[in-house]
Amino acid sequence: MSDRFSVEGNVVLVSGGSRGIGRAIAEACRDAGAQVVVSARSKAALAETGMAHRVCDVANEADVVTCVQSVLDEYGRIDALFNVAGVNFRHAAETFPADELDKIISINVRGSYLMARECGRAMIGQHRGKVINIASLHTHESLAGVSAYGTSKGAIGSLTRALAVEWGAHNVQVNAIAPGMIRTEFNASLWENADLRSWVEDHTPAARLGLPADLVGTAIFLASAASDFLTGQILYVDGGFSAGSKWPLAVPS
Amino acid sequence: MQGHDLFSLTGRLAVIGGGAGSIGRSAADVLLRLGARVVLFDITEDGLTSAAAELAPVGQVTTLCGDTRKKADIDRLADLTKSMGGVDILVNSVGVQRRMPLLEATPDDLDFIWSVNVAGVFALTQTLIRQMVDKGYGKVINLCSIGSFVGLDQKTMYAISKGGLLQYTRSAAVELARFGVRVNALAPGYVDTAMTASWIHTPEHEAEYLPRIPLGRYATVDDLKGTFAFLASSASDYITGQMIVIDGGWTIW
Repeated sequence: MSDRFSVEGNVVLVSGGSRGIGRAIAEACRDAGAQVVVSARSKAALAETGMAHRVCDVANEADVVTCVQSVLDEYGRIDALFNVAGVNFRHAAETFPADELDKIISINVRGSYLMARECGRAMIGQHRGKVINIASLHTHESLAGVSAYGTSKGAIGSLTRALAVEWGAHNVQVNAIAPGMIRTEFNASLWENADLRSWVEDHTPAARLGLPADLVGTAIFLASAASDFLTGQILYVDGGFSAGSKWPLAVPS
Repeated sequence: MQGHDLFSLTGRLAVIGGGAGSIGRSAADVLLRLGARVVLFDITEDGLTSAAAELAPVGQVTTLCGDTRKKADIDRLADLTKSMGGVDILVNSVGVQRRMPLLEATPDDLDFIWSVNVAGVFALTQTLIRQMVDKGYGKVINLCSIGSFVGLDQKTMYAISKGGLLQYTRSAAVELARFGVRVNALAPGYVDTAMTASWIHTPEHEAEYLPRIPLGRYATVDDLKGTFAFLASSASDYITGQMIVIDGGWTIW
């Protein structure tokens, strides 16, 4: 195979890289030969990854600026940014606490924006770069009780397109991965709920929850030259969830 | 390298409908490079001869001349692929268009375009997916267009057909997921080929189109290869019913 999917030697920064989806993406890039730096708020969780890391709260502008600059100082460039850091709180919209709304917006939206801003400036200088945001099924449709998170992920769709338009001429591609229902080690308890689990399995044509490992092929595709003419796109990696509804009854034989 | 194994097609058999055309050849080229065996199916014997000559140094290519609108031709193709162990990957890049003012178009024009772009793709797929269902695994890749979701001046009938193909992609994905068959699509904007060159490179069309494309140029057939490979490989196994738009950002703003 040519080097179309190669990320070997590339400098890849993954926010929210200490666990879950971010960790899986970071490990896949590392295994493919990239120089990976993971960032997160917890130093202990970062140390446990065994990867190069930076403590960084993406809600804190000074943290973001310092984190990106120190990666540039050490590696000389950033080829790809994965904006994975994110939080979710679920409440009825009519009583949603403002402090939790603020956290969701400041981490999911403002944090992704600031990370992209800092890395994007370097990428424009390099005349080359990939920003990969984590969108959601909520970017495309809504569920009750998740209005703040849904709002933030709708914004990620807009951010993805806006940066793609603005930075296209600088050869910086901006795309997003929209995972379907993904089981990670820290949301596993949610999926213990049998009703919820069967609802997802019935609504997902692939008839199963996704795993972080299901996203890594798309992550490498979007970080590599294979996707150089794709920009402003949201790739739904959801087992067919957003393609349409699965008929819940057995197919007559 | 784990990152590369995700994209390996060793042992897979791919059929490229419309395999003599520029886009079909690009799909064949990249799938061969990833280790697949390829059968080119096309209506022009001369085109197949030249495509086979071009691709022979890359890998194992077989050709069959036929028309997707003729059941006997499709059955011959199915017999051939069955004798080769059954098809794993089907790329549907058969397509025609007639550019004309809507006020001059007749139902016969629409019938012709529909018979190739939708009915022909449907018939070919309908037969070959049985071999995928038997294996419990398969990949169908349809060639959609930005005309699948935006209106096209003087190409209404083409847009109707590509919109239909997108809905076929989604519905087939939902229904075939239970058999392990993934159905996705690739949607380019203008691709720079021998067929389009005289249209897209006129000064007035370059002035009209290029400023609309954030990445600042038309796609080449090479730009599609990464996405063909991604959708054909296990890297995209949790993706189904999706259309990946490769238009340099043309339609995101």
